[in-house]
Amino acid sequence: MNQLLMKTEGLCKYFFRDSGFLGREQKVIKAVDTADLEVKHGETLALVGESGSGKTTLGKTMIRIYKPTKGKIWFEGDEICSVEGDRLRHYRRYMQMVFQDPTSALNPRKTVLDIISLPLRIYQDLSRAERRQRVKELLEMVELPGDFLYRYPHALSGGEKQRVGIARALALNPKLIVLDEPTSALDVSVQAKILALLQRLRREFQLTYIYISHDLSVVKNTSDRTVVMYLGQIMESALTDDLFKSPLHPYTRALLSAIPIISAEEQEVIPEEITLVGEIPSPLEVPPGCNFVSRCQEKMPICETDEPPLAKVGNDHYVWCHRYL
Amino acid sequence: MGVRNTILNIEGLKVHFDTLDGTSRVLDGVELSVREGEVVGLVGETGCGKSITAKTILRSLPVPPGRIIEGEILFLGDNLLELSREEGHQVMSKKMSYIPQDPMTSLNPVFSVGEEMGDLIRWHGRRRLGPLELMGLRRKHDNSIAKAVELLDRVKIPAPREIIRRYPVELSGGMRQRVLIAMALIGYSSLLIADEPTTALDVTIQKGILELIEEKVKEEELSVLYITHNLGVARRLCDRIYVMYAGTIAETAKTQDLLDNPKHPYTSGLISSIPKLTGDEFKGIDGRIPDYIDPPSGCRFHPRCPEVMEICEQEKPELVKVGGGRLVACHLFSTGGES
Repeated sequence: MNQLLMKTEGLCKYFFRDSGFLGREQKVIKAVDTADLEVKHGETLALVGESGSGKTTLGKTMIRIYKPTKGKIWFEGDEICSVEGDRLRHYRRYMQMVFQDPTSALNPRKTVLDIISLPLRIYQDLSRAERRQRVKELLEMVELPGDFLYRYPHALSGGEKQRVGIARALALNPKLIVLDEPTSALDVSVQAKILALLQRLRREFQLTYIYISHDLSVVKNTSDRTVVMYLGQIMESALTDDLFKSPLHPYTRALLSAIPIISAEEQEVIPEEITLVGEIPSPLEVPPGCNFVSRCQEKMPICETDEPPLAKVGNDHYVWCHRYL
Repeated sequence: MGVRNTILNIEGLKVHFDTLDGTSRVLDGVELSVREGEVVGLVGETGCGKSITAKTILRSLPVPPGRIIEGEILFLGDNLLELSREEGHQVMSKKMSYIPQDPMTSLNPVFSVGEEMGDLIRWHGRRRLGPLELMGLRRKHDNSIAKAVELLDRVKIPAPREIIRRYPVELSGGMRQRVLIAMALIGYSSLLIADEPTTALDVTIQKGILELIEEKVKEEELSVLYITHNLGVARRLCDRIYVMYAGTIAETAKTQDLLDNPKHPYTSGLISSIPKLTGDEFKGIDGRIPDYIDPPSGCRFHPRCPEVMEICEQEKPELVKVGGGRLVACHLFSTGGES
């Protein structure tokens, strides 16, 4: 549990956009800016934030779907930031992903058998019958009946499609799975089933999850550690229980107080009411100083000029905010 | 409570859709009412027919393929389904307003906010405009721009004079939703229908929009039919909630009663599916939403119901009173079944 599976140091992913006359100027979108993270074996690390906070980009950069602009990534002690070609393919099989929208993540012209067996065809030398057997096993793991083999995605419900997506991610016995909002396109009654399935699989196969979500109620119930992101930067990182018990960063508190809840007991868990003014600024025009300064209600003069330093405030609890120095 | 007039009353509404595979029986006897000054939530999962209900009330149901089979929609004494096009238009445009679901596609991208709002203000409740107004020549003299600015101000958009010159692409999702809410506040309508106005938004933005709607409802004493799939949002806004499943109303009760003590097995399933901050266990509902072309016999929830009885497969349960102003459509509570 305490063994390190993945570590990132100063990980950055910038996107460049041409602008100005004949595209002579280049604007930089800092989708992920200096992210330092540690992912331990067997844990679920949640990345939370609003749309545009860079959580999906960070997840994709960590498993090398995107090539990082700067920084370092270690996977089981190996530096994977600069590896390419066959060496990268070797690591990729251990790092899989489940996508947000199950409908667009599955090729509508392929059957479930084709979809799930593609990674097997790429990485393993199996006969057709062996592959079919393996896909059947995988379907069983995700609690789908065997006769789904020859169905097409359009004949499946949202929850069933997401199960196929999970089976595909499991096909190569990965160590790490990035779950990019796996339930945000699903209804709550289906979401609960998918989350239970993911928990069971994690226990059974000792998987490590990076769980990307904007739904804090889900994060509270599924993850061990939570990282809060805003505009490409990490704002706060802590054990999930600690984060919900004592959220420190003004953004985390605002985020928690905005969760729609259904009972009075839940009200007690939530900190005092904070309504954020304004909106997330354009990533092209990030304010100087702290990224959150334009919406922060507790800002100090220093926040507008200096980037906030890292403050360690407890066991495994880190905040990037001037208030906690 | 209770003495207030009912302004919207839907009874036995059945809507079918003709498809290539057969007739899809989408709404199967919806019963719903909204009283004056009441905020009513209509809650259900994807495909349960909540938006179709709203569209039928607003007379924007596409016919064909849609067909209203039977039922009545009484709105301020008129049966909306029997009114002519012209009369219907009058009632609709003067007495109802609507906040759409998707702020990204609900504003016309080729008009600026001011133009779009100005048109709505000029046309509001009218079928014809004078020739000068039509050509836009009277624009200088009419007060539509001033009114638009005032409306934007009421929905707390900063610098409204600036915003009316902007085009929708220049505004964020939360801003666009505020513009749409401002447009819904143009008339002094009796009924506001809001179709999931915050689903496309982030939670922090959603919170601001909910606060705004809450405030406007109080200020203007609006009656609201608020459609959502999120019980947490409904809890925040609504006095009373209808739970809808597969084109039928499963249950209605005052918000807190419904959440604390759900009666219908579907409602309990739905509530226990929501992940809670207290860390209580949550479980989903087995099975999937039924096919509307060949819906399950009897109660449409019976194939997924944990408390299914024999009668559930044969007879469709009626909405029955169970005390405290609550109505439940389940054989567990009807006189025929166990109590």
